[in-house]
Amino acid sequence: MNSTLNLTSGIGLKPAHFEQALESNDTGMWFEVHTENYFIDGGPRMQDLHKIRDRFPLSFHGVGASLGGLTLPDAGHLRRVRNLVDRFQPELVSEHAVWSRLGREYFAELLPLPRTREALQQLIDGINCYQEAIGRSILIENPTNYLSLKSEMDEADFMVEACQRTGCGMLLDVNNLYLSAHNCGIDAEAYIRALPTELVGEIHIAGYDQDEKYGEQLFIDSHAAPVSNSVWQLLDTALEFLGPKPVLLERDANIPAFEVLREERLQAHQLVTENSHARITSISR
Amino acid sequence: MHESPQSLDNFIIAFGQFMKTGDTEALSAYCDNGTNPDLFNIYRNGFYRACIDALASNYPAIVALLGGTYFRTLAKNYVNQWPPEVGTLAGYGENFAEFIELSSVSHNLPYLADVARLDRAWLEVYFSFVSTPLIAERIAEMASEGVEIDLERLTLSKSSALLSLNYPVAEIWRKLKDFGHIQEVVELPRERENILLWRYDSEVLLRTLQPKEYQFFSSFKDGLIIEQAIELAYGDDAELEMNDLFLNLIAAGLLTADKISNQPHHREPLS
Repeated sequence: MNSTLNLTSGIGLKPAHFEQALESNDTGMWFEVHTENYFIDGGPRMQDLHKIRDRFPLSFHGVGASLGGLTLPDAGHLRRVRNLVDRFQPELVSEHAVWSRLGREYFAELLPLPRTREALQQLIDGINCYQEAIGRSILIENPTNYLSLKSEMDEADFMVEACQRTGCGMLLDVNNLYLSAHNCGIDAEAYIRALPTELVGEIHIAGYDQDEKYGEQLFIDSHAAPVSNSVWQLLDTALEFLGPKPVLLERDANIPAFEVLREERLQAHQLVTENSHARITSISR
Repeated sequence: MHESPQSLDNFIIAFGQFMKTGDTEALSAYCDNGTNPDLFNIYRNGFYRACIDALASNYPAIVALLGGTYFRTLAKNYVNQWPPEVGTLAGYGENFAEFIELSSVSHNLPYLADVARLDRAWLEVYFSFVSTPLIAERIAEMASEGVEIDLERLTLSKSSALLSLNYPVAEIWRKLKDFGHIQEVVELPRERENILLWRYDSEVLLRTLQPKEYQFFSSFKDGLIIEQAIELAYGDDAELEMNDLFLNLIAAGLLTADKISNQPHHREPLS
């Protein structure tokens, strides 16, 4: 993950923003796209992504591999990821520690795994299969929890062991962690402190919404709103403990103008930079 | 203190069943003490939302014609009947036009399925492989060198689609696509309309075709040599049509000869 140390904060890129993104001159800027949105044969979207890749570091973030499913990730799916990785040579490739496929059906949602030894082994098999198929290591993202399943392990331990036994890194989604803390009582700060700092290769931030039915009792990982103050604070805590990491601003619904995202991303850039300086000062003392 | 769970296989199978039926009973056993199984619905709602949003994105003219609320009801029924099978929603809704044709909404809007077919064709053309069009400059250069074009090596651009629709919906579809609405819902006669859609640079273009033109494009796309396709479509008038058709295809970027390079320095001799 050394190649990513010079990245500060990036933006989840949507096709509507290609033109403005290409004109960006922000220090440390990089972009991330959902891998499966580029399971296409060609056309303007693919051409635009090439232009982005020529100017900026790029990351592929998968949502559909079903790493923790009953069967190993689909071979056709992995071939398409491999083609994209070979073609674009992204700085980072990531997926989720969840499942989404059962037999022929794809549930198009990040479904939870109970944190058991059995589920851990299944996830490990899925990660190994994915990494072998694309010929490089990946990062896996912690899920958002909406309810507590009977489990044998804490989530931090579950994630760390999955990473250590597969050689993958962790994508710490601070918004997911904040929501898991709010919805299920996970201790977010203890979670962060349980992570070996070198294991985390990327951090995600995003906005959330209250659930329509349960109100403020349940927060939903909507990616449809600006990042909340609480999540900014948790990001600061994470950066303070983990050191500077590439931070990605996600926004997948109610998408504002690119300039608005740029402003929001600047806040993350400043936090990464400040924590980086603080760490250097602390080490040199 | 963590509790001993039941088998993972059973959990995932029960979860899959819940995603289809909404019945949380079998999943309750996997909840930690005090957890409300109703919360599993967050995942099920998220699944439907993602699928319906993907359909709305892939079928914008249908959304514009039906309105968001009605569209979402129709789309949810589609998801139940045709749930996604591949791990991406990028092209989700392959059977949406046929589904619409068989649904009750077609009783009032019999041409709706054809509008969906145009949305689908637009999507497929937009995301299709890049075919390098044979450009006029290259042809002129070949002519000046006395090189004859091998007609067997010419093909129709892969970034194209041919449709033969039951209703003349092209004009309505274009308005829905450009403006997001039409002034009023119209009645259309059941009258066949042939359409060619193709991508030129970054834009998808549409042309309605006369029956002979459609026959030509259809057989050319199916692999017939251009000369034979013209003869089949135009019969005795083939010779007259050949030149104009050829020039029009070149101008539209519809003619490709991927084995014939547009780059003078790397071209290969034509056989």
